[in-house]
Amino acid sequence: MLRFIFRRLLSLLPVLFVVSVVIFSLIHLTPGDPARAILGQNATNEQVAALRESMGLDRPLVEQYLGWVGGVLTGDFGDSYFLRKSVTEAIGDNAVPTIQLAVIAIIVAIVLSVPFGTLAARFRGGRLDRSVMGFTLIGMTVPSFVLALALMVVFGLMLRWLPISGYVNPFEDFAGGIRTLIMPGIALGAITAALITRTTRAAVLDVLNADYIDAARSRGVAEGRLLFSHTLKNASLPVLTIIGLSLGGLVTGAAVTETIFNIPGLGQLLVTSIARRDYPVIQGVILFVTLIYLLTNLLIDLLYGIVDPRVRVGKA
Amino acid sequence: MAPNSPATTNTAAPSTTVLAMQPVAARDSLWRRMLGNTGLMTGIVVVLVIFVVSYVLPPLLHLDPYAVDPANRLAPPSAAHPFGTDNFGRDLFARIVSGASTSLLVGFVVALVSGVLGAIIGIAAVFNSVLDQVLMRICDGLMAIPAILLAVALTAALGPSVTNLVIALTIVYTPGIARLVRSRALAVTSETFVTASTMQGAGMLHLMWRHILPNTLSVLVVQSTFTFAESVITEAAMSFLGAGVPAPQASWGNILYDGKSVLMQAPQMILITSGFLIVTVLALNLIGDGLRDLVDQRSRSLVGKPGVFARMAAVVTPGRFRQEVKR
Amino acid sequence: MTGESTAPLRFEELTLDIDTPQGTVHAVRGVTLELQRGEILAIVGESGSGKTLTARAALGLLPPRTRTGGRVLLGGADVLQAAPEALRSIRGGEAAMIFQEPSTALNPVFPIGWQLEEGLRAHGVTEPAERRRRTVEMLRAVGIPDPERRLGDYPHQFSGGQKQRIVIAMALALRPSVIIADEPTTALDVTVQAEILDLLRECRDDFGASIVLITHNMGVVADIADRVAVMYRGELVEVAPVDELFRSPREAYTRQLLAAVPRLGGGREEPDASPASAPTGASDSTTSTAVSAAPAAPAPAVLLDGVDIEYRSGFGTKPVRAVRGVSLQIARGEVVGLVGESGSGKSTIGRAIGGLETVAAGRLEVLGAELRGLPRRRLRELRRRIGFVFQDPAASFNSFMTIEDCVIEPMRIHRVPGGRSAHRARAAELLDAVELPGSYARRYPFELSGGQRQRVGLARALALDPELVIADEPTSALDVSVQARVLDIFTSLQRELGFAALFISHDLAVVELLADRVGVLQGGELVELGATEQVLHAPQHPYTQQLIAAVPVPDPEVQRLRRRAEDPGHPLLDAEAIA
Repeated sequence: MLRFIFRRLLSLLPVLFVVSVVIFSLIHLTPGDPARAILGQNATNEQVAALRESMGLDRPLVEQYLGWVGGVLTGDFGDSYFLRKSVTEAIGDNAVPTIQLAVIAIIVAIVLSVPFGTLAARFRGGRLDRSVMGFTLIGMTVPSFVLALALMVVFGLMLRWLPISGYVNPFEDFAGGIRTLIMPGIALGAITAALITRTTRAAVLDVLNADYIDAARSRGVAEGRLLFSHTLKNASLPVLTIIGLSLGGLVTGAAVTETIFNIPGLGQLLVTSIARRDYPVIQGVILFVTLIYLLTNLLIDLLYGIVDPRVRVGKA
Repeated sequence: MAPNSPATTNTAAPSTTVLAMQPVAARDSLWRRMLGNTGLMTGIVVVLVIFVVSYVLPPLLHLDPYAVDPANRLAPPSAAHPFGTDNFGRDLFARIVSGASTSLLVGFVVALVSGVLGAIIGIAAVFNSVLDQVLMRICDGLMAIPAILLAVALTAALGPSVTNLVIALTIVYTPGIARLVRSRALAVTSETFVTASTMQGAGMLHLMWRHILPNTLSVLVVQSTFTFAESVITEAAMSFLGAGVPAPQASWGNILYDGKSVLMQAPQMILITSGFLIVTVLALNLIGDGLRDLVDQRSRSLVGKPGVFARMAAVVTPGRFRQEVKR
Repeated sequence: MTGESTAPLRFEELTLDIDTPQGTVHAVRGVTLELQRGEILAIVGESGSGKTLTARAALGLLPPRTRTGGRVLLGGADVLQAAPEALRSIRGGEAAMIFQEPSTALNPVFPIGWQLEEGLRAHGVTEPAERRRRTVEMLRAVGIPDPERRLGDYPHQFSGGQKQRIVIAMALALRPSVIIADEPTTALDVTVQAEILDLLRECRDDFGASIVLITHNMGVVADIADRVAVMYRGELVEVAPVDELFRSPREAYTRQLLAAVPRLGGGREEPDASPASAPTGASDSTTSTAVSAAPAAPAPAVLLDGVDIEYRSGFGTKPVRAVRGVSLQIARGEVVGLVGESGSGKSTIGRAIGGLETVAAGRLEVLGAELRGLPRRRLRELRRRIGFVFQDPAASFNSFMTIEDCVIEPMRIHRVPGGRSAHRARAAELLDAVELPGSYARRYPFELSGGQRQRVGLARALALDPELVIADEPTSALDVSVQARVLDIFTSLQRELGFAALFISHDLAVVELLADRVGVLQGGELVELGATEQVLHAPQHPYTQQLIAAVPVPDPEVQRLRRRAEDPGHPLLDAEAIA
């Protein structure tokens, strides 16, 4: 098992390399000079040159890249141009709401999708199946920001049940926190829920078609037990995969949702930083989010090994 | 001996008897199979209508999405402005129609370009293991970065314009398609007919062109359709964040961006625009789902009753389609 | 209640109609059949005969959209009308099922002990200790060594034969009076098959179960069945005691079916003037050096000298040696058969000759060219002179190409002069040679039956007049009558065109039909090589002897004698060993 983890970690290295190069080159793709962009058109050439030097922009590219990566490896993502704090601090301040939002969204998604997906597969072609599939199609179609706006109008402005913006940390005020996070969580989780429902349905259908289900049925195992004890464990493998992959979509959606609901999370930080070309923050946030994404998927790979004995005992 | 009702305890065991004994289906033409798939046809009709409307109506009705009328801001729907006006007094109908062409154009070009690039990368990767390693690591890296973040960052770096938006979205969506094509191509390469062709002395180009490409095309087309839908959404989301299509130009995302601040005064801005967006994306998803059903051998036998389009076709040309409707 | 009959299982006018989009399939039509207490009833028939559906109906396991007619009486109750609860207690309790493919009949993500206990739990054995005790007992009964320790193991940790034993243990768990065995040995090697058949016999003798055995293998029928029911296209053709059926089949279809079965020891039907018609002296030579019989001939078609072939499953893993030190020659115009069980390396050798595997050590010459280090271009040229026929006729054609395109493909690859019209004429000629109507040229592969497809495969292999044909299990996916036809065509074309051939098969009887010489592979080593007659009738190597002994002869009397001659106490787990 340890060797397995080590090998998986090792395989992340090339991916991280590519990610770091892409993120790093974002700055250097910029037409025009970041220093000029920061200082504005009225700055003198001397001021720009001074800033360039202090930002290290005058050094060769490879050197700049290595310096940046070296910093990142020691936890130093550089300093924000605007925020008067280090990127690490900025990420730390903004990560908590985003992670809470993502967790709520994924919980909403799983709670909705796994039972409905399973039942849709069990009663394939029936009325339940059709309506579930119809809902998933809508869920995949309605963009999260449209859903967010709709929720906001209905529950926030018309019914006045929930606050339409702001953020309260649920660890400090649980009820208040949930009240502020539940709408964005649903808006964010809807697409993921649709995706997982479809995957669950397909996976369960696949397993229900397998010989071993027929074999169990031929031994008199009841249909309900067949579905929940014999099928779900096999079907959980593709579902786990899709959950891991959809985490990327969640973070993406968070950028939009946070902006709408005015939640001080990473998404909002990123959007504002892009607007004011705060490159160190942009780089840091994207790298941090990508890292989280890769690590969660690594975790899911390990879960895979727990669910499927062939991965665990097989050729390591 | 009255036949009993259909068995309640079904098993899904594939029966060779059924396969061997079922009457050989007349080889339905692609066109007929498409007609039989109501979802697919609905999607195609909707997308075509929006496409045609967005290109034909503006010159026909002299619609101008940029004509500002400050006196008439946020007007409710009226005879002069069927959808009302926006916060600069521009005609919302003109803007939505013109936005449709922007959104569809962006989506279509992204789907086309990333489809072609993805196919080339995916198939090339299968034939050279070193190339495969390099290309797939790059794809993994790009895919690890959440889509909108990458697209937003790329357009920010490249500068805001529709072309740069298309480039950014292509960079975001190509790796996924390439990976999919590669895995499909890899599966095809291990098929016996490819071995058979190799054993006959076939070269690499022959294998790629005659065997691998036709067999990956179906997956490619389906995925490109979904990419089309996703690009439309992503474009809207980016413009909504103010990081997509630059301001005066109309796109659905831009209109939503404008409408966000006047949500209470002019809800029709958001309502109508997102309606169009949802219908379009829904239609594209229906096309994708329909194409997948069309391609998937397993689900082919499940296409049961002829849908509304097949029935319509049967009314128009009774001779050709009668049999299908009878089933 | 029927009253008059005490038969544990009785089909009365069973009719199964299955609705498909293409119309209703009358899959089983009015089958009346009775399984007597303590007997093994074989249902035989080719694919599509409805034998599996009939047997599955005994457990109410029917495909979706099936309409049923008639009755299936299991212990007096009608399974087709049973309520779900009653059906559950019948399944496993009254009747149990053994499946064709043991590796898919076991759930890969649960330990086998849990899966075995499921059946007991479903039938009200609530006490965990009791369940465990009975599980261990069943595993021991079917010959799984050290069952206490292996309860927690997962299916993939067992060999194919062991998995089938576990499936049998599950079937036996509640001591059902009826066992339905659906092709229980088809997926297994012959030596393992013999053990499983012995175990089935024990199920009857020691557990008192009556068995319905579904099979297409007449050898298995002769070995184990008491009575035989023959089905054809959904109808019951004939039911008779096994001796009677083999000795004097009543129906024409049964006779036809039996005639198509290749028999080990049946020998080759030699044409009258074989030595004269054969292009080289291959067919009359019984010595292993066929080359010397034709001194004027050029280099042999294939020459393997101490060949090793290794597989590397992944980067940095230890290579697995699939073939070890094999030396073999195929003379021009000679047919050499290669037999062995799965994993013996027989297909690997075929692939290596086609240049698909690289040789790790030794010499491999094909048509005079050394394959090691042969430039890619030369290899492609060489492949022009080699034809290949594959095992799975369904997978060996690109479904986007018509039959004609498939046959023409080799001509296009090698830019055979004459253009499209000449190619098409040649394709028509080839389809004619494999006895397919010219109208098939425009069809797609999936519109043909398995046997027809395999004939197209043969036509494609012969498109460029190859000097060597490699056939890798070309008939093992086909029904016997279809197989007989394909083999006939192969033999006559080989005589006519005089190509050398390597015929790879696991079926000794098939190899005997057409090979001049036979090589026997075991674990990657060639343990015996010689004239077909000699190897199959006077085998020298113990493995060959074991292999031949394990093949059941499709003749109940002979098979009974052979069985008696065997050591009665021979250890069942011999070849399986402890994994």
